[in-house]
Amino acid sequence: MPEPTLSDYLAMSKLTPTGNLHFEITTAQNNAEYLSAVNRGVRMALAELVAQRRHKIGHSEDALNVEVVSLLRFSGIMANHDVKYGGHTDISVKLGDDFLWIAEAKLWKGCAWAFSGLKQLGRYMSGLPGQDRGAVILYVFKPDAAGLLKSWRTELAKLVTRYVDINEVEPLKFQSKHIHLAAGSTILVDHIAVPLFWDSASLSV
Amino acid sequence: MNVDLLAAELTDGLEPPVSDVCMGLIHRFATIPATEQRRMSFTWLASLVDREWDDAIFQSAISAMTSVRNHPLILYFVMHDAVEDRELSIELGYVKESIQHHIFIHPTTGEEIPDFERLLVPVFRTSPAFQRRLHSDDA
Repeated sequence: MPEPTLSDYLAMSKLTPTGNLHFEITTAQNNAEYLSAVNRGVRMALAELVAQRRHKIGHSEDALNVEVVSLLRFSGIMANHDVKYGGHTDISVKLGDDFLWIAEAKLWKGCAWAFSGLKQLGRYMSGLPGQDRGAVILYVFKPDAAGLLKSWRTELAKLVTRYVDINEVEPLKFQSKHIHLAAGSTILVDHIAVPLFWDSASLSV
Repeated sequence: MNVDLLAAELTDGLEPPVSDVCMGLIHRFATIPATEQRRMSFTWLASLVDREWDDAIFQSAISAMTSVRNHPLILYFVMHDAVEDRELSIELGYVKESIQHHIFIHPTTGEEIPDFERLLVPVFRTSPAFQRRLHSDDA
């Protein structure tokens, strides 16, 4: 059998989103490329949760985190749940020489709860190069996840004094930049709402 | 180092069936001469663990083994140099730039090579750090 060429490899990577992710991880050579692959993997894992949301009713934060970790691992991303980095992290991904991405995940219980998640994340992140990107993942079992995320974005600007910038990326995601207390470096946090509300009796629109 | 310990360490953060494929590869590397681990094609690696090269589980395992801390595998490319009738090794970074700019310059002749994607073959070598650990006496 002939050895597959780069052309075959590229063609395979374009066939499916997972193939694309594999190509991105396998060819990643620096922290920016690892981050891009992790973001893609997390996005795909969360989309899978949303696709299966009718089966997620009543699931705990931990059960959902374990599922996200499992989906990442299935794609070949070295992910862990409950590993200690300054505290028990919900989801962590350690790659390459020094890349470490951490996410703190919360069931949506209002802005104060989301804020506690952000504070935890700030404690867990080192602020070192390659370890200065993380995420607050909000599992929303109520309607209008985008509206709730918007309320959290507005509230965040009032609650945090050491932030540099807050930007909406898309209706279900915004980013905030903060000065890391210990490192003094800028850390960037993705705030991601995961819409898991399911009510078979109501109209979906 | 004990190969079971090394395999367990390198696959911490994975789960079956992907971790099984990684462990299978690591155990095979322990039995194959290091000289044969300098140019391993996708199909050859897949055959070591009875998988197809384009199988999603196998590709997940390859992704993991090229990205984990102290990663065992390094991806690079080879192409046949018709002028000197030998195989040239080309590093991943050079190929990535070529893909991005849609232009590949032959690294020794300086000529632009059209249709380079059909000429380059992705291959792997085990990393020196992995080889050292595999053959060290540490418990």
